[in-house]
Amino acid sequence: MVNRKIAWVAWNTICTSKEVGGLGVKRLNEFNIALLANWCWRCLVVRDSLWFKVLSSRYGEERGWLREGGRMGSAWWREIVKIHEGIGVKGGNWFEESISKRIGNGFNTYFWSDCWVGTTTFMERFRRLFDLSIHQELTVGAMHALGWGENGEAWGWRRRFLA
Amino acid sequence: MVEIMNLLSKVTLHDSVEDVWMWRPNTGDGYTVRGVYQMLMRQEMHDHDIVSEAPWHKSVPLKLFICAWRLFRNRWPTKDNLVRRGIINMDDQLCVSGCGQNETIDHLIIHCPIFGNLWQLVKSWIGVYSVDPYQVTDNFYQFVHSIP
Repeated sequence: MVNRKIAWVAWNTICTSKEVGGLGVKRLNEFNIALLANWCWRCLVVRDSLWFKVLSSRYGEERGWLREGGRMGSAWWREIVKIHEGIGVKGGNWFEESISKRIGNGFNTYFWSDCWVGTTTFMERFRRLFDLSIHQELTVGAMHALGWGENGEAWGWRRRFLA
Repeated sequence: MVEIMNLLSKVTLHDSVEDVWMWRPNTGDGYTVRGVYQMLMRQEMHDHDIVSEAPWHKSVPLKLFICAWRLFRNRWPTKDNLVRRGIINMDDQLCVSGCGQNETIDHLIIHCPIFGNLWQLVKSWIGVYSVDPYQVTDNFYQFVHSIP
């Protein structure tokens, strides 16, 4: 650069918020992630909107979340998928770790793959049980209806389960 | 297996209530871009320092505030700073006022016999009486904490 001027203050200092003594200039990378992740969040909570229906018919749904779409996905959509899956984004899986379900009747929540008890999904916490289950796709409500007490029908396994 | 059944035994479902997503970092407001941006930036935050007390008033023009912000961080192009960055020569760092001393931020703003006297005038003008500060940041503290 020809007209290079003196750099008086580090970018890190400039970009911290005013409350902690910075200038409050936005870091574009992080701000962009926060804006994109807003779409991840809206994909969860504004499901009756037209734009969601468009995405849903283009990419398809799987366990309550839209499919990633592979190479046919738009650049915008691929970024959103990356954030949702926590791949190649700073801070790793922060989005998934920040969401959980408050359970009502349980019919809108996936028993294994949504986080609804504690801070992790049952799929992660009880990996072996999930792998063996024949009800991987059922909702909390459906599992409850089958019965999740001792010898309940919800506990159907692919092979004989030796506890 | 025992563990998962224990967890489930504490669960009660409510027939007439829908399941809702919660944003765990802020269950009250839910997802906000502002909150998430701050969350993503949190690893990089600085410790508390003097400048964080600086009042960002809408009535103060931004360029003035940035000027003050740089002052508190000692980021003015004073001669000692310019020498340190190799912009001007070592033997060229005397104060612009011609008072004969080296030009540093504290000298320029407070100790310089020419410019430093302005504070006395400012103080008598707004009616604040206090001991003379030694550093720029002391001066800032005095003003922030002595004005009722």
